[in-house]
Amino acid sequence: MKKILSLAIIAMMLMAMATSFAFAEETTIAGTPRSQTLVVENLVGVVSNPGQHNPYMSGTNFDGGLRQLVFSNLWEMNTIQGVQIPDLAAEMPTPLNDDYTSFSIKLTEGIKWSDGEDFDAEDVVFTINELLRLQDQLPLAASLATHVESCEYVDKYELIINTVGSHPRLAEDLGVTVCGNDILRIIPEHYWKDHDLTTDLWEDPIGTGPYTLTDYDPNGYWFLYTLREDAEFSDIGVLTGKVPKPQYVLFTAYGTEERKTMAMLNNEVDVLCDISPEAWEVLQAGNPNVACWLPEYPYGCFDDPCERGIQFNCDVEPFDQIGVRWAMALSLDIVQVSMDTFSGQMRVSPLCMPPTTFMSEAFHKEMRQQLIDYTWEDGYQPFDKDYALKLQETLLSEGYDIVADMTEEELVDLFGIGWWKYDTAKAEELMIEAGCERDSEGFWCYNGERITFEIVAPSGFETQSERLAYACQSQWYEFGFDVTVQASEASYFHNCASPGNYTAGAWWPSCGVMQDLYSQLRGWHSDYYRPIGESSVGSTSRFESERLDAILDEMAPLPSGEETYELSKEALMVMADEVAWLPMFGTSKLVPTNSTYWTNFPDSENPYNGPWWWWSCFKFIITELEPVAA
Amino acid sequence: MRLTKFILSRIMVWLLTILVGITVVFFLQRMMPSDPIETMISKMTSMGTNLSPEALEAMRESLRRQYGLEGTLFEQYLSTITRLVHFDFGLSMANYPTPVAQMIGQALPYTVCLLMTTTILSWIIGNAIGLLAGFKKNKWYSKTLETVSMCIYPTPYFMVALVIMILMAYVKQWFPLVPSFDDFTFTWAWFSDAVYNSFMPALSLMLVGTGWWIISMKALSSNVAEEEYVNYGRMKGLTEATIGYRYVFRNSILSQVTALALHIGGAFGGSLMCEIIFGYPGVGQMVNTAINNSDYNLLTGVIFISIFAVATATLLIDLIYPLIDPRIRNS
Amino acid sequence: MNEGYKASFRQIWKSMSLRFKIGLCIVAFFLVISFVLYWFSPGDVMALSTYKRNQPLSWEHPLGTNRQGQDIFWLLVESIHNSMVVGIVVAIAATVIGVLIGLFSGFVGGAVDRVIMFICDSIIVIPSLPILILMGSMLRGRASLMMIAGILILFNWPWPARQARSMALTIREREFVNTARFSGEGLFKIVCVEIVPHVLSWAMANFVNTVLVAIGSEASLAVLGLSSTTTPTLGNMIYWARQYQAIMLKQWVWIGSPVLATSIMFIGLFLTYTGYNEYVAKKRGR
Repeated sequence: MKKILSLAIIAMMLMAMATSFAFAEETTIAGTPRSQTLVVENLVGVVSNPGQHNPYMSGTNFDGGLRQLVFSNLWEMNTIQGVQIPDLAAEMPTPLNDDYTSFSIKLTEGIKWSDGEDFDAEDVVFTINELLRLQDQLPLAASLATHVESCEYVDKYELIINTVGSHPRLAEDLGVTVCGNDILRIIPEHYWKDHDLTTDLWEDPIGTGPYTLTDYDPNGYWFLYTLREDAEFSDIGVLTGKVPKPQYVLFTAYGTEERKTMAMLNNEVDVLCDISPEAWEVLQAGNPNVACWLPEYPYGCFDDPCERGIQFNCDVEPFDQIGVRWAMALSLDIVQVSMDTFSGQMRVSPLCMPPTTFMSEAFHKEMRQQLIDYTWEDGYQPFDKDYALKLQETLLSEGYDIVADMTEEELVDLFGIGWWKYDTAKAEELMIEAGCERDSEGFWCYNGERITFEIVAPSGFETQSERLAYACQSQWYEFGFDVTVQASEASYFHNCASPGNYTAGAWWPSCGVMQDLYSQLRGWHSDYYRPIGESSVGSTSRFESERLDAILDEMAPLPSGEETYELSKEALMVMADEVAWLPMFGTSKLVPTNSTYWTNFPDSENPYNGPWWWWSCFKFIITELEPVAA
Repeated sequence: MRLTKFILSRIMVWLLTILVGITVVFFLQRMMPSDPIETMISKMTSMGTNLSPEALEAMRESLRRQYGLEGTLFEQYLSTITRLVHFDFGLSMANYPTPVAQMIGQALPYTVCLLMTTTILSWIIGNAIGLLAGFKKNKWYSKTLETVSMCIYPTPYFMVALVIMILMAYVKQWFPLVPSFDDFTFTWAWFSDAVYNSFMPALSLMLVGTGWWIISMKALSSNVAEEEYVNYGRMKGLTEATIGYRYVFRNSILSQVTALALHIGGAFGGSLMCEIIFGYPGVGQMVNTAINNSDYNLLTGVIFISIFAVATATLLIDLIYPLIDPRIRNS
Repeated sequence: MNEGYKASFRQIWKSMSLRFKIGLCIVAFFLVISFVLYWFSPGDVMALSTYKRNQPLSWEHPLGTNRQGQDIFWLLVESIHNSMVVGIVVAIAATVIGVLIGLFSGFVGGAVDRVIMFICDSIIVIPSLPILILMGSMLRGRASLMMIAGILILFNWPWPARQARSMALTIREREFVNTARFSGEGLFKIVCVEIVPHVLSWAMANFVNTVLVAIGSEASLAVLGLSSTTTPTLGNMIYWARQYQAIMLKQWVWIGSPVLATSIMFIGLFLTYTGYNEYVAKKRGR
């Protein structure tokens, strides 16, 4: 009995292995030929409801390829130049009056939905009207209704949108600036006029992008997209005149970072979204076909548009005092923080905006002299312009010889313009000025009580912010703060910010891609302020500043231009001066690509687009990829 | 009479287990520091969209309506129990509006199959080896077997799992890193594909599980083998095989059946770790996702079903017990 | 007198099986690490960049340093200490609570006994890990190790309670208890003076087993990142090593030392547990 059983098991195993070897060589997990398939990591992991693609249901997952390949937006983002470009719309909106409340929008002609129907103004008008009609039932529609009053059909390729209040930046609200657009996703009228947007799952979505969803794993591990036969009539086909070469695109979930790394080492996946420096070290050593944005150290791409750092709750004592927040800045050895977080592979920024290639030129380098000259009333100059040189020294001592020959200018370009000084004596002085004192064990006290707080940090996702929290905690503890890190899963992490249930958090509260920062900064206006306990989205830090309010009020009615650019710089200076939050580094993304099957991925030497595979700009990248196999 | 009483008390325990389970889970998750609605909103706004306070309030209210978070805590508790008894778990919050029952229906068969196969196989294999090792306890192979299982059993499970994954899916690419299952069809192809995809998780669970059965069976059977009546049997001239089966096996297997019933809960816990490490599409993976999304309904559903399944499996094994225990059967 | 103790100790040691001896030695070794060596630890072992990163093994750093700039040796010592403390606290509390409730239930009998036993049975059946994971994620960050210990106690008392109860049932009918009862002693006193010594030998075995279970559960939680991430424990050390890709980077000392320590400690505890049981059985048989 035993023998038979064990024989049966072995036989079963062998047979299973044999059948799998037969096809494991050349096909993907979805059964498509590997050489014709681009395999991309699905950033969100396993999707529990893989059959749901209705873009207005709150539980629909949009990151697994729908945003990137199937749906299109009215306006897209050129991430390299920092400007919006038309997509479904043929040009930027034309204001019809001086208050910016009514706009004419012309649509791109010749685009077809993936089922062959023409895309035209009827679809856009239908989408907006349907959302306005359902604003009580659909959360996303409720948010659209705060922007759009009504919508009128003009002719097949033109329509008029009337807004709620003045909207000089309509394209930013209804198009893409970062990642995708959350409130307006154009849907086909010919399908949805007969279906209910609140209940229909839309298992076979129809889009204007170059691919269609053809198959998916019932357990949500992978999604397969197939190139449209009429891809020349997709938005990409019409706009660029090109048709993507990959016949299939497969989005797969890998789970733990170990598994991701193994998959790329074995050439199972072409693109990974975001990995740690350690995983990159493994990949680089283990597979010669794997590359990152920069060919040499520090490898990663610094162009992700969010700035990372520590945000304090300005309603919690003693962090309501600007002096204390400054002391937190001056008690950090930022070079050490950088080493502890990502082995120095980051670009520093003392301003509340990320030091991306574009933003650095526009703001950081532009304002560097201003920061060097920046002086407090007592004559103290807090800025330290030599961050890059100090980091170089530390890196050399750890054996990173690659930075040895770099000039100061190159170093500043690479590692950032500088940060605040590491000056514990000044920090001590500020703390005492603010009414704090050290207790017998050397910990800081305020009002006779020890200052005890936690830094809320993401756990298991957003590695950079997670590590940043631990790095800062370690140094602040040394300086005398009784501080711990509260590692939190996604839901708790996101939940703390909005009602203000935290003292400090490792967030990325400001993102920016353009010269006009109004859309990004308006949340810091005190209009958005809510006391602790009430939810607020813009003002999670509970920061209030009359100076900032004045600048934002001045910017609000202006269309983007030279004037808003100057005001944006002023706003950044005010936020730095009052420490609205404590920005430290731009986001450093290690986004490795594997050129075993596909080449011509964007990188620093060929930067036709940013490496943002989870953004809607993916469809502009995929037209450029070339197959390796003949 | 004794049999009826036995069965009744088992069923009582079964009911009580489920009720205790529901209560613990319900109150625990209401104590959770995160609010699903805030999570949802943060998710929607994490892309850099700034909503006006009015839009936000409108959105929040509409979500609260959707999620049925209205009423006092006690009302919510009562309605939870009523709904659960009808296997109505509501709609998933994070994957709105997918019904939770549908999501569990998708995941549960994978866990049940994996668990059942590995538990039963390792129970059989472990007990067989343990019996041999206990009955022939002075032979070299018995000692080797026991030492090996003594070393494997206490090793932390996740390490065993990781080593298996690295060796079999990465160093030697025998098995896939990402398990993938088609929709069920009654064909040989589907079956072999399923075995192929779940081989690594199953192997890891069996390695750890078998160890325990070997050790415990060995201890039991070596005790039995020293009893007087075994010697008596030998003197009577029975063959070793007959003695092994009739005396040693029959007498030690009883407590192993009871042990199996108590073991199911622990095995289920092991399969949770296993699913998370291997990315196997069962309820363990689902618990993980539900916690990350603050998906109250999904969590309630999954944990209720887990408790229900474990309690029921335990009950079934308990009910088998009288069939093999002559003392209860014959009373 | 002193000589007598030594002699009897030698005799006990001789009568132990080899397995029991090995187990005891391993456990003693870990106890020394966690309660003696621990006191020589140089300050905050979790602090980042205390030392140069990725140093090889040396006299100064017996196990080298890791990517976070921590000394692996002292990190390991503190981890063993914390894991051991969790295990011992849980084991003591669960065994004491369980035995007391079990004895109480067994002696009082009737409806109270039935209710308590039903509750025990259902807690034993409930799969604890999903609930632990749920609690862990709920309390994460704020959860001190002691809170996790509290959760573990909650799930580990019913088993000793059941055992103690069945012992109480058999003991209750024995002569000396009846004698004591008739001579007018209170129930509490009977339990303390007459019963506890009988239960003690079994409780010892359960104690060792619970230490094992508790350390294992905490490690499982920690590996998933659900325990307190800033307190070093064996599971936590593995969690951090994995966060920094220690396996793929082949930093075997960092990931290997806590795994090996856990395994050896478990084997030691397990050998002690089984060896002790055998020892007691043998003594009883004699």
